[in-house]
Amino acid sequence: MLEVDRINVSYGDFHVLHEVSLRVGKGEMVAVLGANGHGKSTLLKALCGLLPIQTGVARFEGDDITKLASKDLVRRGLVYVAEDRRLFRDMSVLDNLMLGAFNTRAWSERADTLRQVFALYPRLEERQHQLCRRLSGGEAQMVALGRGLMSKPHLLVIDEPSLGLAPNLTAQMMETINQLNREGMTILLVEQNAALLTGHIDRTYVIEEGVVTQGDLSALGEIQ
Amino acid sequence: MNIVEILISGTTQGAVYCVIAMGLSLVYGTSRILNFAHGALYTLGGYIAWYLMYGGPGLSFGLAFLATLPILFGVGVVLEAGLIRPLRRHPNWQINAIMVTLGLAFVIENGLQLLFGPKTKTIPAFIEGGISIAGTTVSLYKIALVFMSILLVVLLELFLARTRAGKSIQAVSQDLQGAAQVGINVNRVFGLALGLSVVLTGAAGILLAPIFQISPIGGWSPFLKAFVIVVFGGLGSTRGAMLAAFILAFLEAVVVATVGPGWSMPAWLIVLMVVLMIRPKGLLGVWEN
Repeated sequence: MLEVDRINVSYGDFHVLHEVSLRVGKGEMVAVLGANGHGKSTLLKALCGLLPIQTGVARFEGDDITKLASKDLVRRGLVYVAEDRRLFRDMSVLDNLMLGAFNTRAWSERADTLRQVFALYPRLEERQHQLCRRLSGGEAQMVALGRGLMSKPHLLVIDEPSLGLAPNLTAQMMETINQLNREGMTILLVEQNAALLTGHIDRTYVIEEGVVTQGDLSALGEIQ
Repeated sequence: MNIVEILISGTTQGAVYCVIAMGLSLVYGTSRILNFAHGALYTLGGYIAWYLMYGGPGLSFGLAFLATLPILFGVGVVLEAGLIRPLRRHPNWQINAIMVTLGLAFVIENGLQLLFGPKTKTIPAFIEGGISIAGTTVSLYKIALVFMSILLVVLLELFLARTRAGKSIQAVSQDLQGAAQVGINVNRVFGLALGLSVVLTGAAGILLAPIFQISPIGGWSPFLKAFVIVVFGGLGSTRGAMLAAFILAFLEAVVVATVGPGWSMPAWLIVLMVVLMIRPKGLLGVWEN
């Protein structure tokens, strides 16, 4: 579904990602592990069109997406959920979710998708008229994931869902992500702490100083 | 001093300041551009309407007003795509945008002077006469002006709060990356915001033409006032701009009635300094930095 072939990405003059390659197959759950500052978020942002890819090729569902902007990628079903959530703070939960369905493909089905998101997170239905700035960290993370689902993703790219959450909330979030994957959603997940990854994971990559290698989750668990 | 006069003057000025300042604030909040050509575009609105009425087509005031609005919108969209968007690729583009819009202001002013000459133009009011409110005569045109200004403000607020496009403007102003993530075409939103902003300021330029007349450099005073209002209300907050417009308009009315017209700008700037010392982001500022 997603094939990344030796991409290079820079932040200004700083060369962050070196010849990164990875692959996500349909229906898979793939994790990228690495410490802060080693390029995890940069990798996801580049794949989702928020940062330019200098060289190399990224393909999504068979098409070259290397030069595409985020608006085109969202319409194709490549959807990014940011670590810092990036909610619209002065709008309601409902408005945030509806804006998730902004792309034309998802817009016509927004009522159905909203029902599914509320079924997944009844808490969001209760708080749908609340402004996002008044939500707790756990609720904000639910909105972030819910907004991603509203875009009708084919591949959901999730950046460090545990960031700023208490351990029990992290476990719940991980369980939700596993559930989505079991229901057929393809997921690319980035995480700092390998110990937080639970459930079935098809493949793991490790990112270190901008270089990605394929790793083994069980071995990583021991290192941590 | 006459309380009724102050109330009437404050309300009239406040409503018009609202329209001009909300346009300036909308663009700053959405695309982070401090548009120094906002006043020149105010003037441009007056000239386009004047041309449609007396320069050729011979339209009525109402038709000329309505026909000018889409032209102004187009001007905003073209300026965003042609002038501002190329700047965005460079670091420190916001400073460049100030310089470029300042230059644009001079180009528009001199262009208007070249086309229409330096003499002022007038557009007569579409209603004559006045009514007496508690012993003070108020022209019917000023009352119509208040209603039309409030109508424009209400339409803008409804557009922002109720429509999909309006919500995409709000989304971009609240979180640019978040907006890109959900698939909003942020360049189109920048164009839409500048288009609406030019419509607002240009509409104010037309509506005020019967009172202040139109001249090529007539936009600086409204721009300066809108600038103070927007900073006072909090950069990027349209609600803040609305509130600040009325506060400063009533202050102006009191100062004009008690001290004299020459003191209104100094009074505004003193109040602005005090507010910024206590609350650097303005009354309802949204930006932390």
